[in-house]
Amino acid sequence: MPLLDSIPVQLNLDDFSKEIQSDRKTPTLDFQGLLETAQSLISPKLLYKVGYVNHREKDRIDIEDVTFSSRVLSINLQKIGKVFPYLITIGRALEDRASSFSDLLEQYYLENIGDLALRSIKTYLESHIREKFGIKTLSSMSPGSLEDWPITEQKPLFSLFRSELASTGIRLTEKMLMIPRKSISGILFPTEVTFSSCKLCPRKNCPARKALYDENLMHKYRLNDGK
Amino acid sequence: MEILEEIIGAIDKGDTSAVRELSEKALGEDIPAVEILNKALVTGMNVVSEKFKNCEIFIPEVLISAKAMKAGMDIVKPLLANGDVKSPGKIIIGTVKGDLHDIGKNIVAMLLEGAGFEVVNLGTDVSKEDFIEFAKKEKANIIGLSALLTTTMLYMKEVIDSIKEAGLDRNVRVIIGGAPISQSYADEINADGYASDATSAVDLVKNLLKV
Repeated sequence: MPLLDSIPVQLNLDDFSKEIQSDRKTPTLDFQGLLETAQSLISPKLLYKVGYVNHREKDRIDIEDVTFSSRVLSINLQKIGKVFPYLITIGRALEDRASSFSDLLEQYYLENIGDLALRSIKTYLESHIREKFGIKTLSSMSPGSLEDWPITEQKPLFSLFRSELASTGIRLTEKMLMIPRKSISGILFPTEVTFSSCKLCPRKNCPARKALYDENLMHKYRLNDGK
Repeated sequence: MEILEEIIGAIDKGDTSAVRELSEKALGEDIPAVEILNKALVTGMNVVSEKFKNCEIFIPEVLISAKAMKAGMDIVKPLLANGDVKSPGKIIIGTVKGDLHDIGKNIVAMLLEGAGFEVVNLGTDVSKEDFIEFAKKEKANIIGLSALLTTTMLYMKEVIDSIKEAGLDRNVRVIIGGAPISQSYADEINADGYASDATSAVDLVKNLLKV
């Protein structure tokens, strides 16, 4: 699959205010200017591929010739033949600029703008896949978002991209940190009902929570059984 | 004193210029710098921290208030005589080796400074050797470890074990924090404390140092 880098990244003040959970006006800070600065620093790159599910077991699933160990993923892909692994980055410039700010508030805002940009690119990818492959609803899972699918599973995910990886500029460290830091990865897959890993995560007070924890779902995925 | 209450109010509102002006005015009224520091500036940040804990405000407001508080500190600090202010403690803070996440740890550092503590921020990707070296050099009371990945949090145990081997554990407490961290993990690796967010970290440090 080709690398996509002419991706429109939508950043606006309303989304930014929601992101930072604040509508307090900082008189000395030009939010619009900060957004425009951030926009100029973002170099979006998106790599995805079509992957075919080859083999399924209770706690493992093979996509192409790569094995992933996750009961939740295996259950979610039970009836799915085609999935869309992806890697997204906005490059290093924004995080480097954030680090150079002595003002922690500006650093904080730039970091959040970076996260906003990543979500914008993921939304673009989802629309692209829905349109190109005629899929109505997509869900996503990412390594590290659940104990069941730990961050060490980044390694097999990255191995799916092999030769194309270099074109993204993303690398995975020994500790599974993606560099540039403002990068995300995962697998998109068709679903009838939208799935969110957050529903299976009991962590309290998580600023990244996208859905309420659903204890009943833990039973559905048999996460309370021994693995 | 009314003006000290006004400074507290200005910090609560995050009004940097007001904090600056009022701090100068307070000095002009011969209020001792140490009193402005403790009874207005630090107290103001305590008010803000309580609001954050109660979810009345969020991180941006806390940072805006911290910025305002710092403006007041910049006015009074040069006028503090030696011995006027004894720091309640010194904290070394850093993100552990292999991890590059910065912002959360920096917010903790800022709030600790706002609470009157001395903070040495070692940045990211910090080795156990560097934590120990700086703890000794700075005569730190507390080492704060941050990690954002389940892979890098494992290094926290190495740091704690090394601190014990170096015989520092008698004088130095270790606290940990970060997205994958929990109290049970802190207990498992014999950390002295765990904080789930920046204001909890300040409370934890105050409790550990009994201030």
